[in-house]
Amino acid sequence: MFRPSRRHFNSKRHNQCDDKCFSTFQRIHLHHHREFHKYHQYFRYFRPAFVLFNILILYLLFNWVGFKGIGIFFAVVISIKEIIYFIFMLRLEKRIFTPIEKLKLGVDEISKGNYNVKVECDVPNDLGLLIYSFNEMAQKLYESERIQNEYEENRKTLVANISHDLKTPITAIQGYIEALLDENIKFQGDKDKYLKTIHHNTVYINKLIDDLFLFSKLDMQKLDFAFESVEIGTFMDDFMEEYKFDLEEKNIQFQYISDLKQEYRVNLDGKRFHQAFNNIISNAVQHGPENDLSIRIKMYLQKDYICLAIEDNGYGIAEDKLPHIFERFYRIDIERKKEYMCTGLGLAIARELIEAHCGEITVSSKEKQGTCFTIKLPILQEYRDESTT
Amino acid sequence: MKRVLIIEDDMDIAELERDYLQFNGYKAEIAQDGVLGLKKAMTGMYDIIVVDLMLPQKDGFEIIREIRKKLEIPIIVVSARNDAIDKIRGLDFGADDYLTKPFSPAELVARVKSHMKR
Repeated sequence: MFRPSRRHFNSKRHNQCDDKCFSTFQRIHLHHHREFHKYHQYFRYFRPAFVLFNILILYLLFNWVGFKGIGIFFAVVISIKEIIYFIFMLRLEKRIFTPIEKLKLGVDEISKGNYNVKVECDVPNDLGLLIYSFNEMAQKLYESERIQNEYEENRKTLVANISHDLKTPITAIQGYIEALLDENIKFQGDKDKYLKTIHHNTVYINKLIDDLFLFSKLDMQKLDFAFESVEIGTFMDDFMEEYKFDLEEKNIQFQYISDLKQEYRVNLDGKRFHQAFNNIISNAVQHGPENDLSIRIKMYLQKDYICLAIEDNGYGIAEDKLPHIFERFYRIDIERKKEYMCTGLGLAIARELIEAHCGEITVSSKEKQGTCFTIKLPILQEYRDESTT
Repeated sequence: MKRVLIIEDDMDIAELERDYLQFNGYKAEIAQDGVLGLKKAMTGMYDIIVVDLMLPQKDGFEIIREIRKKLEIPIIVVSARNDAIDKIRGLDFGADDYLTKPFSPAELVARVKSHMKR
């Protein structure tokens, strides 16, 4: 009969008891349980047999030694019984009472709201399984609370940022309207400028609200996507044609190169991808020089990904600012924020949209030389074997 | 003519403040970031400073602290930050007044006049 030793159990339990170890332990324990019950059914015959045996011993002792022998017999039996009882109670305390007490302390901590608890108790029985499950539950609760706190902090920061970013254009609108209504002030020459400023700020607020709405939907994963399998080469050819016209009208040099040797398919929501791409290009236009700006887009294959490198010859981004540019409301060039409708959310939205496509976006830059954003999109599974050949 | 330094990164608001102050007989100049603003302020050529708290490169609190080490000119904070803690902090650092956005430009002029009289 297989009897799992405590050594076997301990070595499994003390190695952090991952799922594989835990299921092994469960199998061993269940086997032991079945074996125990298999032989336990015979215990019901054991007690009456034991009583009859004791009566026989008493009778034989009485015949051989008399009452004195019976007294000694009872003394020995009672002593043995007490020792066994003592050992039994020790084991019971170690294997049942102490773990229950520790579990109770753990439950009390959870009820107080402290989820960062772990009950340290290795017992090779059902109680040990219960403690393991309890520890798992506590850990999940703790993680959930931590994520919730993080969301709450992010939400507070977002609300503070939104509040600030909305108050600024509202101040301008309110102030300029007050100036136009103020009879004491003669802004005859500047009236048009004031009206343009008011208009510009209302357009900016509208853009900010649109960006915030989109960003919050992305953040809560409530934005609907219409993914479809598209041939990326054909898609990009058409897409880049649109940009070519738009950018050349603004006197921006534009070049698109595809290094793909064959057609590949990716999962794409055309509208959302367009949005993300547009945000990156707008960013390049907003932060680039007014004259002689050039944007170069190159598409190439990298293992199981289609890569799109969007390179410009702008002013570049300082190294200390580079890690932050995908953060919401982060702006490098404060001066141009409203002039070019720069809400500080464009790149944050672009990153969320690309990541929703199971892709990634990275950036590299050198000051005074330019910046390169690289979008990576995974090729559809059935086309991956072809890509590696 | 009294000179006012406006340290504000948002040009629309900075120009509005400048226009209102100039109409009311002040000579106003604009600095769009914290570093330039502090540099101008420390020249001692201004009679009053109007400063935003959220500025690029150096925030308003730092600017107030630096100015107070050397100059005793009135400082008015103009900010979208409406929390009591920000107002207390600004005044603790040495600002003489705190105006929250959105504000009335006429009110700003009235406060500037009031501090200039003292």
